[in-house]
Amino acid sequence: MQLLKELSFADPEIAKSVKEKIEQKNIALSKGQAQTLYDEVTWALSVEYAFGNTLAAGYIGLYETAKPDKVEKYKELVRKAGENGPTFGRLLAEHLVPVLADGDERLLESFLDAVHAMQQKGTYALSDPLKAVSLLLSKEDKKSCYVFLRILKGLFSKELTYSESRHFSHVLPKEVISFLPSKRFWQAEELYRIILEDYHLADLFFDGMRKGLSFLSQEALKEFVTLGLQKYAKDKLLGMKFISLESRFGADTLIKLQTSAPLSNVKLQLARYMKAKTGRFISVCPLSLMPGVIREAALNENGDRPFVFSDGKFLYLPDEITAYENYEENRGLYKCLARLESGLYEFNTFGFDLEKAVKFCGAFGDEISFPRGYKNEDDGIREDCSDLEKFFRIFPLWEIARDLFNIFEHGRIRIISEEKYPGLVRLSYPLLIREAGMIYNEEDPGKFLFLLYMLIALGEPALENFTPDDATRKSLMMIYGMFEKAMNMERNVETCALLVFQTYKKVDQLISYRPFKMPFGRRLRPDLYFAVHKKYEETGRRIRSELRKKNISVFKSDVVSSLVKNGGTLSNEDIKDIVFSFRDFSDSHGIKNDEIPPDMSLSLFSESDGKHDAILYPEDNSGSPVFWYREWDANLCDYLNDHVRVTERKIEGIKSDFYAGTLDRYKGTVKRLRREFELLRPEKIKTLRRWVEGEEFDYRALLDFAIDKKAGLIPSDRLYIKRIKQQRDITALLLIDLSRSTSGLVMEANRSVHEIIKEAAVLFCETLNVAGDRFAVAGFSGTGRFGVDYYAIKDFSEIMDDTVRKRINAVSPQRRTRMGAAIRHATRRLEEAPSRVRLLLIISDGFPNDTDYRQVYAIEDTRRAIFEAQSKKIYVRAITVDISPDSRLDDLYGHFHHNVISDVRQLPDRLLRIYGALTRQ
Amino acid sequence: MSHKTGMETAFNTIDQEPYYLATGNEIKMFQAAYDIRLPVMLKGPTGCGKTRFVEYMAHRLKRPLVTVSCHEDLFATDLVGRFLLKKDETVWMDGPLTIAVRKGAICYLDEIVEARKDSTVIIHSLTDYRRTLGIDKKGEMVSAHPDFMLVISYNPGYQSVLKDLKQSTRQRFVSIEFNYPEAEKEAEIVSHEGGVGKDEALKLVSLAQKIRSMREHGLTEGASTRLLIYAAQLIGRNIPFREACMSAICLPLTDDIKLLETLNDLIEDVF
Repeated sequence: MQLLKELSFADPEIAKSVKEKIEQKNIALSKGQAQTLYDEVTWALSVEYAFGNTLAAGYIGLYETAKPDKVEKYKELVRKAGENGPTFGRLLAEHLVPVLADGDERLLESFLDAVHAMQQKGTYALSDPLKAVSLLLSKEDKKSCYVFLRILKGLFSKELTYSESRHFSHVLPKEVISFLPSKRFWQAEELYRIILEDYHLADLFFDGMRKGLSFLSQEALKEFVTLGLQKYAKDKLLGMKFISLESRFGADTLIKLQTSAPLSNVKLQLARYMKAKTGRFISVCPLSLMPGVIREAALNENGDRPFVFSDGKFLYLPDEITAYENYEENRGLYKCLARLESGLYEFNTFGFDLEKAVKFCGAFGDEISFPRGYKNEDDGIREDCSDLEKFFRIFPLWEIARDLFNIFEHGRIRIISEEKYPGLVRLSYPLLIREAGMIYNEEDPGKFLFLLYMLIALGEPALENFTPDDATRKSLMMIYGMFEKAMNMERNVETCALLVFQTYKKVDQLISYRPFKMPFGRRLRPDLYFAVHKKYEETGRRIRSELRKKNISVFKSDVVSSLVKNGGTLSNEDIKDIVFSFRDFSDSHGIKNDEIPPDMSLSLFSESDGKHDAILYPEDNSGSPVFWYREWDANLCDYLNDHVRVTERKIEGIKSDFYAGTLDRYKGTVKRLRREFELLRPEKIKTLRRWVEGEEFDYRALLDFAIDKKAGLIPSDRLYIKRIKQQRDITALLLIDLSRSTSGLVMEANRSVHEIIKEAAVLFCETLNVAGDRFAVAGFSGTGRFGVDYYAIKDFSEIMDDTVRKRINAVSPQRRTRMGAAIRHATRRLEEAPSRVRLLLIISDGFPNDTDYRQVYAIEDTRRAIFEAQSKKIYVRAITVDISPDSRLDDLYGHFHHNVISDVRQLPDRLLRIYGALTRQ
Repeated sequence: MSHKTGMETAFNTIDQEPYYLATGNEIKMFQAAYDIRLPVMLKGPTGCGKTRFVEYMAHRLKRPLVTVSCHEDLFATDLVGRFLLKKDETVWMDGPLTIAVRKGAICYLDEIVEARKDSTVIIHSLTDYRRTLGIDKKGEMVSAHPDFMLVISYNPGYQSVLKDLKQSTRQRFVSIEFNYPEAEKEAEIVSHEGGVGKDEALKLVSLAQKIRSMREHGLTEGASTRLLIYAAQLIGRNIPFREACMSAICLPLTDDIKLLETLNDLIEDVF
């Protein structure tokens, strides 16, 4: 402690942090250790502050985990490194710690070899690779770490130019870390082979990995690399194209070798299928992008077996499926899993309503006892959870209730599917049954429930294969009989609740509960569904209780499903439907209902937002032109004149490789679009044949005339050729939403929504330039009614040159979205264009939102602005990205005037397709 | 009449009642419009029964029906008529519109947006209080027969801005909106027209509804009732369900292989 005191004279902050760490980690420092720490840290501090700091942390780390001889080694190595410069010393002081803590001599040796090789190129080469080494060791991936060190040594021992060294020291760690942990070791081994042959191939290999090599199995990747290297030995260019999958042969070989199916190959199809089947927009989320808690749970439950579950927003699936020996079967399994999961939404599993279930059970007159004295749904067993979870919690052993419900619910879906989708059952259930068989062979968990699952959920007469004893068989058959009877009666999700009530006691007596695994981890997840729809659940509950005060009864589930369907809003008609749904239910189940017909006053649901916090901006001194526009006030039903101030700003261009990079990234698409749009461009003079009048005779027609006349037929009078000058008289303005919300990252694209919108703008400019259409590009954002900014990125009169490209580079997300004013200003600009056809294209990522400008007010004003544009013969088409289709967008833009591109990555291509379709002649 | 202009015209009274199942108030509305001779515009997606409806109404009103399928090379003369050379003389030949105007038929201009703009203008004088058709070449002004009625069809989902219907044309018509019928009725139509059982028809309709919800996923229009009828007819000719649906519903809708795969998955579920 004395030494620490002395250290505090040298640097109080470091001394403080050392003290805290020692106490936190409960390390008892010997005198010798403290002395070493003091000596070394003060020495390092005399070299450089950061070095001293890192070294102090290093010693503490080592004192906690490593043997004394390793500490000695550390001292020796860091001293030596520090003498070569503080940066080198600091890097070693930091990254030697995990290596020495591991205690493996061979690892240390490899580490030092790699460091030596990199050091030859310069200290700059060390930072990123060493960080990666520490990261791999912290993830206990020592095997990969070994290979990575070998790669570093191998590569940096070669003759590299300065820029090559810089490039590899940055790229190599990034790529190796990006390999999937389960595959990293052998993928890195193949990278090592590639680099040994020729390090120029490394980047091509990374390209190949991104394009699909990463999905190959260990043997397949090895075979591919062997083939690639053989090819390279014979013909360098062909070999390079093969490895980067640019050659046809490379791509074909990949397909031949690939057995696993990556989710990325079917993701869009699955989302499309889910939309068609369920009417909901359910995206597909791979395991690697799942939220941490969900991912852990999925991994624990399913290990490396394929699985599926969903929460109404996402369908969760593994990144790849390797369950079968060929690609097609693995790919087919994804589809099968999506098919099975779609039933939950189509047949309303998560629309389970506890109140309805209780009424339903009561209506059937069964002796339902509520083990916990449950009286009604407001008992508050646990408010903050789904109705299904509340239902399970009614029972003493809720797990049994949950499993029974799962069994009956899956059975119900099977029965409905057998009638409605025989193909689905034929294709998917055999896979489920096979998987169930595998689970049964591996372990024997909760046998009775498992057999019941086979029998009811899968419709598989499992009794033949699994030979239960007579008593079990009898009980199983009895429950099965009850299930069949109930299904013949009514096939609601609530019927399954009735079945749980009827069978729980019997099952509880019969078994001692052990959880059982369901094939493909298909246990229902009402908790996840609830978490995603919590907002709607709360609104639903509020609306139900408000209506109850008015003596109107409704089911919460009906309110919630209507809210989900309409994106959180309810119309008068919706409420009527909800009320009548309750009445229909009551009537058809003989439940007494003596309410007064409701007065459908909706005032209680309107979201009034009377705040007025307009921000007053100082006058703009930049000299940018200012325009004042009116705004439609939905509450007043009138315009507020000169209400919004729009400043038209010029963007200062910046030099960056964004524009060029986008063209490179989309080079295939750009080429195709250019070709397609060249076809849209009319030839300057068009010859029209077979006209009744014109500039000269069409000789072919004259010939026909003579022949017809000779033959006594009536000849055609269309004998002339006419030449007309053709022009594509179109002016378009692309208006981009630059609100802050667009800065969100699109995980799979590794870019923000905003960057993808910019990419779309690049492609738009490039393509329209070819089509010869007059066009402008502008962005808008702002805060408050006095602060709307309109950024002119390209004017109609400007040509596509470097100035415009630089401006596109410079565009970045700003503040908020006051869309009406921006549309009015864009309309003003378009009005000035002399074309016959004028088109305003708006790209946005959602609904308008600004101070005092929300919801109905914002929607109505935007719609108004669009009407105004239309009245000036400007056609408006809006494209909304990155949100699910929402019926309120129809209110915003009009039914036929907008497109939703939920997967923003499709925007660059789709934007031009939409434009092409709009302007085809 | 010669078909050299490429247009499809027909002129006849419809003796046998065409099958048509009403889905709303369209019959009443059309009847009322006819009673006071207002021109009618039928709006709706392709294949939802607009043409069949006009045929049905023509039969019901016992008027001959002249149908012109419009296309981009349809000239005003193709509608009004022209001089032809007969031996050494020129002879005037009425076009389908003039025939309908003179004889008091219902003239149905199908897909009017496809026609050239100058062709659509000539109907203007027929669609207001004047009810006349001017024939420039002859210098004649033909007053419409008291029973004459003009009907046009228009698909609002049509994509091109360049081919939108002008307001001056739109505002001359009473509009009747069509959409795909609700499931039960659509199944009845498919069953009747396609000659399949109600259950099979219901499955086809359920498939179509799913396909229609893919509008934002690359399909510009959903599967029409007409396509469902085609599929049903193929099924009636012993073509297996899957193949019939693929050929009659999916392949006509899109060329996109991935989209077709999803459509195929949906078919596989149903059959």
